[in-house]
Amino acid sequence: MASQPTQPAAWQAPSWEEIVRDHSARVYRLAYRLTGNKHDAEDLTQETFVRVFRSLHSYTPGTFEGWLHRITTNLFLDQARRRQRIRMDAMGEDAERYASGDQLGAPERAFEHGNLDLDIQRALDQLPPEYRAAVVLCDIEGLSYEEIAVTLGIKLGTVRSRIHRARARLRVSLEHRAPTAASDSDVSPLTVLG
Amino acid sequence: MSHLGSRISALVDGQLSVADTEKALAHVAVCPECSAELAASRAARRALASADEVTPNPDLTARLLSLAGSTPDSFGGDPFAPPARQSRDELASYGVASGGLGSRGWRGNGSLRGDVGHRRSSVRIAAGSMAGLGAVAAMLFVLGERPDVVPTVHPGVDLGLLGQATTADPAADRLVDSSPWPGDDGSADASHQTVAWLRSHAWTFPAELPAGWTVTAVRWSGDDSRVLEVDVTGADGTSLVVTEQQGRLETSALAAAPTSTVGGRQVYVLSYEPWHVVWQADGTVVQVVGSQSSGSAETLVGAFPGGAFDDGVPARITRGWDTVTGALERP
Repeated sequence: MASQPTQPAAWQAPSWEEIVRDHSARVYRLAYRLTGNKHDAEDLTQETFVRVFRSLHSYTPGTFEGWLHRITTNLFLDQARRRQRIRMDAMGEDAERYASGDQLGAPERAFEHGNLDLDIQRALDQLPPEYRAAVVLCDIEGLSYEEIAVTLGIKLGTVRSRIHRARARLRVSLEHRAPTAASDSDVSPLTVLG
Repeated sequence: MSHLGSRISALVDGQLSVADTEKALAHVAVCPECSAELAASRAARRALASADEVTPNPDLTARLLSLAGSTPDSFGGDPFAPPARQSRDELASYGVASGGLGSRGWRGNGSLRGDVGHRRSSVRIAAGSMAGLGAVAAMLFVLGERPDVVPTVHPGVDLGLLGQATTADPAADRLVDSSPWPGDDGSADASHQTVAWLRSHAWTFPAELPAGWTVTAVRWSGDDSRVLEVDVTGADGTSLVVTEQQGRLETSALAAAPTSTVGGRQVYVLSYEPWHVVWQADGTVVQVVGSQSSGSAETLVGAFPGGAFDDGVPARITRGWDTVTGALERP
């Protein structure tokens, strides 16, 4: 240890190429599940990496993944809130419909998804952005409740209730879409703490 | 024990403590309601987990790599160095690939490129066979034509622009020293000289930058290097990217954009965050991109000279002359 000429902090700054190679797929996956379509997911991914690039110098070693999750979800939520506000202004009393402002009707969506996947994404798209972020971080990214609380800057209890409500809504829309698939999975064996 | 409520989700996710898990499971065993809820919750979780893996398009990865500047290899050495200046080609390909800001007005569509090419070649041909003043005037009149510029806003591109902006003072930052700009010699009034150069080459720029503002970098971008990008930094650390392009602002395409009076000037606000405004200044379309609007940014916008696009014959001839001299002097 003492013989090493370098400073004690052995953390090696990754190259930009490493950062992109190691993390772009993960960021894109998260962005895709949050935004629900390829185009917005690419934009969100790019914006996230622009932010990362701009603040690399201020990044202190920690979990890079956590940092990326935080940037991606916060950018997404900012956008979603802004869009929501604009739509509310523009649509007046029809504002309720903003939640269904997805592009699932577009024919190209069929190429992006399998059938089951299409149902899942459609169900996700119908969730309020805050619920969507919590449940995607949990079920697709596999974050713990503590990690989600830090990522979204909310309390642990809020994480739990958002995930709970999100799942209840997902269940309703999935059952509505594909009744057989949903009832099949209801009777599958319970695997505790899977 | 009352029903589990949102603890069901925590149970499904293994987020309860061992003792709480025991208690919750004991409850589930005797409560059909919570038992059904638990099964349904697991089903929802499984459904999400079964979602297909999505993979990014290789194009996207390439675009992300290009954020770092010239080539990923040359960048590899020190990712924490200030962003390298992008070459014109890369900037153009970045804009084209993302279909954003540069998709039409900036890097030019087919017809714009065609016009530009024609104009350039006509400079050479006409210069060789000038027959008289009338021909010169007519030529200048033709050269004075300016393409319509349609700015499009795209947060990714705006942020990309800001991301590459040089924010350090050139005197302190050797990064810009290699550029051919007269102001970049690192002297104290580098900013001053750059401004003088820009103004003498028919670019719209404030005669005096407001107090505290300095020009930190100047570069060309776009097809044929027809877009000028100037990075300016304020005393409070505000960093703005000013882009200028010869042309007439296509206002019909901006009908939906709100206008606002910034520093006594009417501008189109294309986006608020990042802040992106555009206006016509004589024969130039000026766009300013910053992370957000601020008092000092507005002061800078107000400092720009210029008026409406003038399509009269004398104005066109003047612009034609600028084109000729510009074509000769362009580095």
